[in-house]
Amino acid sequence: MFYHISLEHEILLHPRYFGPQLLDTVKQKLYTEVEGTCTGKYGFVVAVTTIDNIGAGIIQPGQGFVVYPVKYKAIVFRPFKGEVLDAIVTQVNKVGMFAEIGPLSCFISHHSIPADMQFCPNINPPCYKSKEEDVIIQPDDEIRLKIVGTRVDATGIFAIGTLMDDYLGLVCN
Amino acid sequence: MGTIEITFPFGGQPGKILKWRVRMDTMISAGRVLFLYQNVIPGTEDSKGPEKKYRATRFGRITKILAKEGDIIQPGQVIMILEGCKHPTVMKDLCAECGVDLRVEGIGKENESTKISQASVPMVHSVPELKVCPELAEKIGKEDEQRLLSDRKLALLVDLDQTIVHTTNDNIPPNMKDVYHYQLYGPNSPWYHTRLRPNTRHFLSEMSRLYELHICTFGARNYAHTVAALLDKDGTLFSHRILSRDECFDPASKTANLKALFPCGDDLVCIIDDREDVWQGCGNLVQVKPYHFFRHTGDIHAPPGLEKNDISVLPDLQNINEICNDENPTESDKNDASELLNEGNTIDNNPEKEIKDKDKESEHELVEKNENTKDDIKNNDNLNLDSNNENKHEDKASEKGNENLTLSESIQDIKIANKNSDENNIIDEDDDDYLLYLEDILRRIHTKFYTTIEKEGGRKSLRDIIPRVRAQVLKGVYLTFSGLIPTHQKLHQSRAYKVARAFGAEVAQDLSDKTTHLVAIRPGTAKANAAKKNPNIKIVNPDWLWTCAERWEHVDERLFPLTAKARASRIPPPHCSSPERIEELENNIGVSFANSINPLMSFTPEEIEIMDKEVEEDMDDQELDAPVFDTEDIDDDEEHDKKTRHRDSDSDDSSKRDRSNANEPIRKKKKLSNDSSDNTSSENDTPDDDDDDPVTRFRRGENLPDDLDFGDNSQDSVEDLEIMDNEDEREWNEMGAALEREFLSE
Repeated sequence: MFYHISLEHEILLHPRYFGPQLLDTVKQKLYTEVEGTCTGKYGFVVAVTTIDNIGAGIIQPGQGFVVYPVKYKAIVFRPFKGEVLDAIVTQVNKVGMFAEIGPLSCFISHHSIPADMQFCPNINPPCYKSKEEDVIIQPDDEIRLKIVGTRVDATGIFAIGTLMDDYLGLVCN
Repeated sequence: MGTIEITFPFGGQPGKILKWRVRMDTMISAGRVLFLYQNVIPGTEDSKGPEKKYRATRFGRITKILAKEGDIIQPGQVIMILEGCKHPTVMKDLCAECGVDLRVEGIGKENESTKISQASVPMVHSVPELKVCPELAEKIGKEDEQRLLSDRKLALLVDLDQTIVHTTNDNIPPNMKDVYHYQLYGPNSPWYHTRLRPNTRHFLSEMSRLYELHICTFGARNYAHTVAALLDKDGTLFSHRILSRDECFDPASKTANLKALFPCGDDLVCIIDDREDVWQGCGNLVQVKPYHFFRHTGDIHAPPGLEKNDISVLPDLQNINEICNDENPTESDKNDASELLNEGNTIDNNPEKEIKDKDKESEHELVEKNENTKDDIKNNDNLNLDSNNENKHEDKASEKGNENLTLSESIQDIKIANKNSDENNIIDEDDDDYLLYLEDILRRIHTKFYTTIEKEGGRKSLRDIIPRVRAQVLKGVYLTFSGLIPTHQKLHQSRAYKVARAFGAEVAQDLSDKTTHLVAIRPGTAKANAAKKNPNIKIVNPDWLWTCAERWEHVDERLFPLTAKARASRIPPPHCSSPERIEELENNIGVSFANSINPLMSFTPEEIEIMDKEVEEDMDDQELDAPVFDTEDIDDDEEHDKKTRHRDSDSDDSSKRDRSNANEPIRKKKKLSNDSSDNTSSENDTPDDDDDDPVTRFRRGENLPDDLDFGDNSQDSVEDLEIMDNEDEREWNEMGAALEREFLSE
């Protein structure tokens, strides 16, 4: 799910940036340091929308570095258990398939793919195919899945998905 | 996880089930509505109040529903039985079925965290985090097998380095044909240069019709995928079936992964690899002739400490080269140049080296190079020395690669003269056609497998099929060896015998009526003379046998006549595998480091005793302050060996007759232990001659006198060489450490 929320971040600035462009540098640094990162609590920071407040800088004793507390609003993407999302299939193998929802990668086990879909390794690229051959899921296809579990660690979030529910599966354009 | 009973909650009123919302065998997760119910007044059947939803509290699969619609259920009554998730598939410690975090589940139960899921088999080549339980793995494996059988295919594990490509980090000329250049780790990382073996594309596309191709390499994941992309742009050949070092369980063996990739056994698996040791004597292996294109580069992804025998000669050389490359980027050119020079002059230069018939030289050039790269280099140096300084001949052993440095100035001219032709050579020289033979071998294996199914009704494992195909090669051939096996060695223990037997030939000690071939090392032996009188016996040199073994075919004997000049190797090249026949298989599982390198293995107890004595004498003489024990030990053996060799070559001069047998163990050992041992041995000679040699003392870690004069280098280059040898010594220490580890572990 996407949220637009207020967040805080501390920017550590080298003294060489002290000067008329200082605040611009702080803003620039905020974008590069924050966008694209992932925290367990808020999920992926997709984009900073506004910078609300740059607090008073505090010079670090003995270093000369200055720390600016910055309050900003950002769009974050936080996947939840039970959420239904659209994803792009990246890899199909005999155990299941991998898909990506933007920055979030997700695995769907063979058992979570409807039983009428069979794995066909002989076709290149390999795919899952329904018995009537009317539905074929292969890499780069868009699917709708439901998240059943997430693994949140320091560098990212990984999700387990399923296609076993109503209205899930290949998305036809 | 067992079964879970879902009961109607205690303490409430009884209820009447209005409608089931789930069916048998459906997977339910927490929060899912199971049925709708209404409370009923106790004692009556009247239902009242609003419809309520009963939600599941757990994840599981419904195995039994114990109440029907309309039934009235009492508090505490069991309504249905759920089977909990067994977590058969696990991805990053998350159950891929129910999404439960297994790390959290395991907390508080201590040991149970591992038991919670049986999933332990990483079935997908490139995603080691994805694991499935053995039962599921077996099921998937069975499906795979069925699919392969119905497609009339087999699985083929393809090694990359030195099997179908050769990769180097060295600086190479940019204009080489069919060489791909790439960087793996960003803009400032080293460049890799990969040359595909001739006919690789043809080979792979042909083989993909008969085999499902997998890559199985010790290269890093990045490297494996990059090379796979070079070989197979659209992913038709390998798809995602790429196993790299990052996914290997064991850094020194590929066998462990085999069970994970093919949980139903390796019946349909055929392996092509240039190394036998990483597969631990696996019968499915077809050992291929190593592809060697860039000189002075072995397998850059050889497992640590397990460089091949023929490659193990390279690392120190490589080190030197690398060092040189920093200072002098044209070092390898120099080597090439001197090597070129050397090729023409091998014969007069070094009589005790294997001297090849010119015709065959081109045919076997690559093999030769592999075996003897070090020798070649030594020769080069030797030669360079000769050309520069005639009386250096005795110092040969200590020259080695370092010579390149000391003599770089003196060969500068040669280098420039040869450089152009040398480069052209690199481009056009590659006449490796082994993949054509390999294709044929694999076709035969495939055909044999499926004809066996058709004829015998049941399928045989490729573990049995491959040795059978191999044994067809020289079937009906009766061999007798002359001069190949040393007298003290039993015929059936020699490698030549094992190779011949593995390829189906019968081998007899002496000539008989049945004998069809005499494999002789040189003309004029008693057997050779006797065989000449019998027109039914074809007389060939050992290269015939090695070539048959390499190509798995009965090669025309006329290509390998026995002449005085053509003297072939007594020892099969390392890639001529002679896997123990099935009945002997348990005797020899895997080639251990100690077996392959330990010189003590090839000595008799008496010889060892003599050596021990010699060591003691030496110790008494010169009170070594005990440097690294292993090194010294080996050195002494080497020294003994060297003396024997001297003796041999003496006797060789006087009576050539005895040579063949007496020489055998020495040759063998010379090949096993690499050249650096020769080098060390000669270093070790130095203290005998002159105990106060400053360099020797320096090497032993003693203080040097301040006023030390390093002497006139042009007169004796040993000294500055010795300093270079620190490099070498470190390697010896490493080898010693490896030996020690191995002995301790036994």
